[in-house]
Amino acid sequence: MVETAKKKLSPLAIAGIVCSAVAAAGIVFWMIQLSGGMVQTGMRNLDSWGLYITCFMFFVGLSAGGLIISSMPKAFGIQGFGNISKIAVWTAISCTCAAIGFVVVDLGGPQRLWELFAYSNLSSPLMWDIIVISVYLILSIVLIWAMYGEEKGKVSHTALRVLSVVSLVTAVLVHSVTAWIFGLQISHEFWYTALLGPWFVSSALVCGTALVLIVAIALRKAGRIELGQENIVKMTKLLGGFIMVDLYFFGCDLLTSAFPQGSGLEVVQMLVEGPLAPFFWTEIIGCAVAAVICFVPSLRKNGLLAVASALAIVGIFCKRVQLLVGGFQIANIDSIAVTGPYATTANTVGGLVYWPTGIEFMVTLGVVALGGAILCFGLDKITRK
Amino acid sequence: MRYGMVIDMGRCLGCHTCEVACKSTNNLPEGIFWNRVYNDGGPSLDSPTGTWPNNSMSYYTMSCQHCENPACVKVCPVGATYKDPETGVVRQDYDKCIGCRMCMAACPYTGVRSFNWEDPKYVLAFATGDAEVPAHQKHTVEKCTFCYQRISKGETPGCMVLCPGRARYFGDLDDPNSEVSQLIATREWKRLLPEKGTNPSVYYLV
Amino acid sequence: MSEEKTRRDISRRGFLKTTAAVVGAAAMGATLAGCGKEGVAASGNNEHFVVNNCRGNCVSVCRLKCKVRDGYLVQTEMQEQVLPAYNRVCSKGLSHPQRTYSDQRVKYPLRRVGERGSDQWERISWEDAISEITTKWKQYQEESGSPSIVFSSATGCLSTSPNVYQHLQSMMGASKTSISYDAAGIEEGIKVVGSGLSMSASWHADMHNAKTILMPGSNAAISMVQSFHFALEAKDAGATLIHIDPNYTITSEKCSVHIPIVPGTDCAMFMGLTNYVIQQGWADESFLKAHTNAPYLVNKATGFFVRAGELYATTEEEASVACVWDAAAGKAVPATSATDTALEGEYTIGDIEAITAYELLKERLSEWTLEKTSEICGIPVEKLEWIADQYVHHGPSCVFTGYGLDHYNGGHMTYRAMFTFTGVCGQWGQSGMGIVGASTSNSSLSNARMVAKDVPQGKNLAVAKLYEIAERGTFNEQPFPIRSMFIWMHNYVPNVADRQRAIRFLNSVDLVVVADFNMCETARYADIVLPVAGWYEIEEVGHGGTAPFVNYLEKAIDPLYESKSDFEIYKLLCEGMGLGDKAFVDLDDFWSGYFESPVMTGLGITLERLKEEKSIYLGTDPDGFDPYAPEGKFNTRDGRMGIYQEAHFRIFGEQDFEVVDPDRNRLVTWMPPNEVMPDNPLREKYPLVYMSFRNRYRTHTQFWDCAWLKEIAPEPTLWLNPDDAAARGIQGGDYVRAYNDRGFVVLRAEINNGVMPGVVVYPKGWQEGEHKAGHISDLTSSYFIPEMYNCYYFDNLCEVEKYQEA
Repeated sequence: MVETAKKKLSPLAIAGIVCSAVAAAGIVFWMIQLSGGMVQTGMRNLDSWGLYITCFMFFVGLSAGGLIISSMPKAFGIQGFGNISKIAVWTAISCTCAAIGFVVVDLGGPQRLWELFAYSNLSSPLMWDIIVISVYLILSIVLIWAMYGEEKGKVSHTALRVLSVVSLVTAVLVHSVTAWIFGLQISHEFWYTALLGPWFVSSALVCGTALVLIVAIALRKAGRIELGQENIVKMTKLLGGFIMVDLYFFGCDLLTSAFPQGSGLEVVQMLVEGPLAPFFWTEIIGCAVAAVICFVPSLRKNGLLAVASALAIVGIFCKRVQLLVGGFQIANIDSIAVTGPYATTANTVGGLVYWPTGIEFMVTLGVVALGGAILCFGLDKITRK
Repeated sequence: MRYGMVIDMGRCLGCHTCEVACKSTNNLPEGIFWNRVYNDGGPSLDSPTGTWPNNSMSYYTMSCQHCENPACVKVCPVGATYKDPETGVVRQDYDKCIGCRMCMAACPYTGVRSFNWEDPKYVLAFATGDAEVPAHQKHTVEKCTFCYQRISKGETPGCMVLCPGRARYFGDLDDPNSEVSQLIATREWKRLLPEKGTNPSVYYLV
Repeated sequence: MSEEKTRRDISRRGFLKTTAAVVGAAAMGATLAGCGKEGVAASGNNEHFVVNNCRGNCVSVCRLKCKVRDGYLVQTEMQEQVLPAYNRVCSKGLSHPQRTYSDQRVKYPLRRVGERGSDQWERISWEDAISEITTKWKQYQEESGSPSIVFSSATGCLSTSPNVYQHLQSMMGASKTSISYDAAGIEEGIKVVGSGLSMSASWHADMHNAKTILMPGSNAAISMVQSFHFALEAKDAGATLIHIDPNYTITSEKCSVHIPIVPGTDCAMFMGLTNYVIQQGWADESFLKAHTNAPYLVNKATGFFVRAGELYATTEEEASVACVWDAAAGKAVPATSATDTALEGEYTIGDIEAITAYELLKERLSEWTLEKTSEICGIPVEKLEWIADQYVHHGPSCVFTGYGLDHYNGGHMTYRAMFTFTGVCGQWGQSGMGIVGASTSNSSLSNARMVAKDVPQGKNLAVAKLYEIAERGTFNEQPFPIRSMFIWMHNYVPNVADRQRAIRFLNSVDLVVVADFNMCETARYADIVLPVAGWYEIEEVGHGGTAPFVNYLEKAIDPLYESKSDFEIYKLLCEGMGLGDKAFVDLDDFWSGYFESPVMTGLGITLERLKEEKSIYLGTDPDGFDPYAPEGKFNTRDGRMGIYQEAHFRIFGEQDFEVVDPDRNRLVTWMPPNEVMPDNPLREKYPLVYMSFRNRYRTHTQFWDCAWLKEIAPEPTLWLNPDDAAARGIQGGDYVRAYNDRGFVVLRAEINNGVMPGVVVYPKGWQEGEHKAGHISDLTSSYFIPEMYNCYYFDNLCEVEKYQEA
């Protein structure tokens, strides 16, 4: 009798299975959303996008950031952050899949998805984004395959380096194009700024770096990888730097809105003390605290670093909420008219024009779980000894 | 041919006739409005501004502005919304619309575009208005079409048939002798959100 | 004999399936009434068009192009009028498809089970319904006399065939009601200036030629929205539009000037203005002498005119003519033969001490200085001076108003004051002058054949009197039981003042029958409801309301369900009462009486001609500029404006026991409103005036069942001035409770900057079941001064508080 070694399920694999179950439940809720109508969400005519597109932005940011972190060293030929490259790329892939998932669940007619490729309108930033994200996903997969290939000697260093450069550029492009979905629209004063492209990139770097940091620390704690503390510290300093840049952009934008004391004041008021204030202050304070933790050496303990990363990620999520809901919050034409049940929902909170409903949270959870499942199963494989 | 509208704010009485005419002609589902009456400045639909008795009050109507430089047409990923070169009407192909609602985010004219957030609901068992109106579809975007089914036959859009205040005009902006062109040439007017650069085809006489 | 209990509101899907089946079958027989002179062509897609009318009591009677597709009425749009200036349609007229197929249609005859008003019904057959009604009527005739059966209609349908029940009523010797809605204004108009083709005012297009248009107590931009453009066209041509109203509305905005006034004091304003005009020497004496009874000699002792027959022997015809003083002849002569009429003076004629009515008027007005006037009505003296100057010197001047002024006790005198003022200014007789307002071609169609000869007629009861007659059990001091009410085109319960009293009244009546095409609130208080066919389900002859036409209307679809036309129901009831052989044979027989009238024969309009041309103009001027009383010829018995009314008499309802002071009503007299005067001690408890506006989305209560309109206005509201709201802790969107001793209502508050402080406004027309609690009509007062039986809707006080749900 041959003893077969029972393959014990690792915690990552278990996590992956749990995520898959949640993702499956998410699909059920998505079907409910489609059949009963998107009226079951909190989105309405005066705010036609909501939690899904917010998460789309957020996950694109996470993915772009992750990939930039991993490919920047290779691209510039400088020393990297240790052996976390593949992990970083895989987080990028998982987040990209989640982002695509969010676009799909937001569509009214997902059965017409094929039209995006049959009738593509190339003047549309949304179309650009779909193209660029598809390219990005494929590139990321190729990159990780190339990383394995390079280890096995099948792929040359130069090739990998070129691929890394291309990925880096694509990553920057991905989030710039995502920014342009909003930043090129004259419809909402809050969105229409040239700064939005660079700003999205900086936000992506913040949350992407924070995500990689958290994942790396967790995996190291779980004993799945070896990682020198100096790499953690390098990433931490980068995170701090990116946060400062992001806050700087924020400051520029606020000042530009407020200075003329004209229509921009309404935007500033909405953020600082209006309905979006909770999100605004969570971001500002959270990111400031995270930056402090990053820059003060004595605070760079694993636990605190995880907290800092989490604060940074939450902060950037709050930024996405501010952008999306904030754009719709201030109507260009606010004269009173008959509105009807499809103008806004009745269940809004704190004067916001929009608040997600239960089904949106469930579907969102499902898509996040999908990304989580991909992440867990992938990391399980990547970090298997 | 470049169709446009002229709305005389001096004559608009806020009676909602054109709002209901649109609903009836295009068999709009419950909860969907393509054309609405707006109270310019008042805190409720029929309240003037100011402190009694020093009040003032003004109504206007707003529907899709059928812009010359439409923000919505640029951003639709599948080209479901497009500008008809012959008439200048910004049209919507319900069969193509994937329901991404980008056009609604891109259009600066708050509320002119409606999304069918559920199966279109009707009180009557049959379609009202014109038979040629394309069926409304769940999860697609819709808006004023300048009653394309009528103007393509040389007839008058539903909201233009009769305004009790005699405030509404419709016609070819490219024809200098049309009523709308004459009004624009001789009367003071304004347009909504001109700073956005969309070049709307609806003019409001002040 | 089906006894199934039927819930009136069956599920929507079930209803719609039934509809499709019934209407589909009916479509096979749908009549295309032909293109006629309209040139209304059929289009493809199994569609055809017919021309018909809206008939609601906004009186605009918009002509409608009805599109029928696959047997359904799918659209009602504007149809061009013979005079395109009168083209019209509104959000309500456009909603007829929803009204026609509403789930509130009465589908078959219903008999009440359960308490009155509990809205529980059983379906019965037409045979049973008619049999029960007529059996009981015959019983009541025997027990209590025919007048104990009261036929009550109002203005819910402005066309001819619903009037046919009046013939049955007349043949039975039953009683009828007269409207007590706008009665003060209409009655005073008929008395003072007479009633012609357009009732007592000019056709609306005529104000096009005015240079000053005075608009007191009117929200015409909403209530007469189809005619308001004529005023705006006048304004574009340089006219000054003067809006006098406690509140600032869209009408105020579109007028040149808005002048606020204390509610209910317009009579005082007109009296002051008239006095001022006279004092300034601006009175148009030649007009007064030639076209009013101001120069008539009044016998000081009796208050009556001195008649020719009193002074000397003369022909029978001339004996009744009133006399004036002929200055050249130096004696009193019949007014018809005077050459140098004296407007003023006191004269002794034999043993008669006489004085001209004009002198009496001056005397009556003498205390009305502008200062006193200003104190009462709240309009500054300079503004009063300006109004008078405008009206006299910047004419042609006219008054464009409806019945807002009617709605306070003393309202009839406000109209007298208005006529007196305009008469003293001489602004009558030419285009752009006179009164333009709630004129209507209503009076163009009358049918002498409707009165049964050789049958003692029943009583003519004012609607506002019904409840008190039933409470006392007497009329004019004789026992008068009301055994049955037959109510049609009259939504009595929510529209009459003091609704709770009206409900108690109906509950005291043995048999209440309502004929209507939907389950309006009054139908819910009936014992038997008869389903009437809808407006687009019958051929019809009608007048054009404020549009000066008579029309022949084509049927769009067959009557739905088991509904029958009013004419068919009338025939069945006649049969049941044994009067079948005396009934009109068919519709043409019924209509022929209308075309025998002097009006129609004078205009050369026959039924045949109307059926061919479909719409015929009633005026003479091709542009529609037809002033009332052209060249000063009024449609009164003596052809003059009756500023002085010798004797008080009634038109809308017979005289009951009240004693009316004759002198108070001979000339304009300030009769203050009953409740709303600022010095009423009741204001300690109820400080707010409770008044209504016309609801944009209803015609009174009609169109209550149209989904499109309910999307725009889903629930009843109360408009408050921001200060009054803030003082009560009320914000826009809160539910508030308005109340007084008569009742209460809970409405959604809206802050409206144009509402006068101390006033609250409710857009009217809501029915039971639509309010959060209570009912708007529970607060209005049924009090009326003896002079005028009427519902005085604005003459109420109330208080408002934030609503606490129990």
